[in-house]
Amino acid sequence: LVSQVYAQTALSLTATQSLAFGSIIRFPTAGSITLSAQGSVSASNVMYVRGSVRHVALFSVTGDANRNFYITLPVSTTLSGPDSATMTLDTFTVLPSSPASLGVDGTCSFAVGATLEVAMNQPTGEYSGTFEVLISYE
Amino acid sequence: MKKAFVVLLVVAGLLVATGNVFADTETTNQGTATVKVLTPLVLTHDTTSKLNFGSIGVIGSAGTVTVASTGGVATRTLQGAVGYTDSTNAYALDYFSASSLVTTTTYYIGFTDSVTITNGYNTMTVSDFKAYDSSGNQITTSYGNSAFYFWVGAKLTLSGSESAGTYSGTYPVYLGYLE
Repeated sequence: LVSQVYAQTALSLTATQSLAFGSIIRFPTAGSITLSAQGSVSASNVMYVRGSVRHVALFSVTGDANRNFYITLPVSTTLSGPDSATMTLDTFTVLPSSPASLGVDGTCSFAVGATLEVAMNQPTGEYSGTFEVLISYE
Repeated sequence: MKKAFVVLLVVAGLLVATGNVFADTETTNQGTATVKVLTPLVLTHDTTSKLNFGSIGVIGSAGTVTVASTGGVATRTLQGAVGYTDSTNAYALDYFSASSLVTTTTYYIGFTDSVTITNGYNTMTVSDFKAYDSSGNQITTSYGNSAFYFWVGAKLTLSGSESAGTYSGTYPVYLGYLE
């Protein structure tokens, strides 16, 4: 008997760039700022500082060549700031859309954007947090 | 009995032949998100204050009048075919105050290149706007102050053919966060 064994490459996911909203100026009313996965920025009741560096999050994937994989993002996550202040990050978007395809070399990169909710009189300062990304073979 | 043993071996072989070796079919990682929250800047112009070049006389050709700060005191410098016709302290710097709730960032102060002022018939050009701190140091940025103040000077350029009169105009001042 000759056995045929199909090996499957383990999926690997690496974060290569953070999701950065740069510096924003909040108003007395609640607002939000959105960085789309395409990289465009839009804001409501929030000003973004011209010249401030902002960019989408980037991830790289390796796995089986020419296979598709799903990208699962959280519904929301929390950023932490000074004096226990928090901000909510939600409405995540991804480019290319899920399921994405690994190329002939078994690699793929994708971008993640999201909406940052800015509360009424949001305390000033620097905020940061993490969001979990899950990928799985189709 | 012998037949039954052979069949069992074949079944075992098929099980191996159709089996896959599974590696991880899914994995997770974490992305990082960051933002810096600032508050609006407030820039206030003292309405009793104005950039004043004083009373100038022209002698038919071009000249300039520059109002600046030296050690926190307004100074006036004339070049070309102009002279002053007023008392020593008739000229003045303009005055602004600015505030923000944020002390951990840098602000920049910016001006337009030039503006024109008019008496309704002729115009003059005001350019080379500069901001000074209370000690007379020229400043373009300010750091770490929730409230700060600056004084503005500039250069007035005359062609020498302007008609007499009081010339006035406005100029924009820009204040922003410097990234």
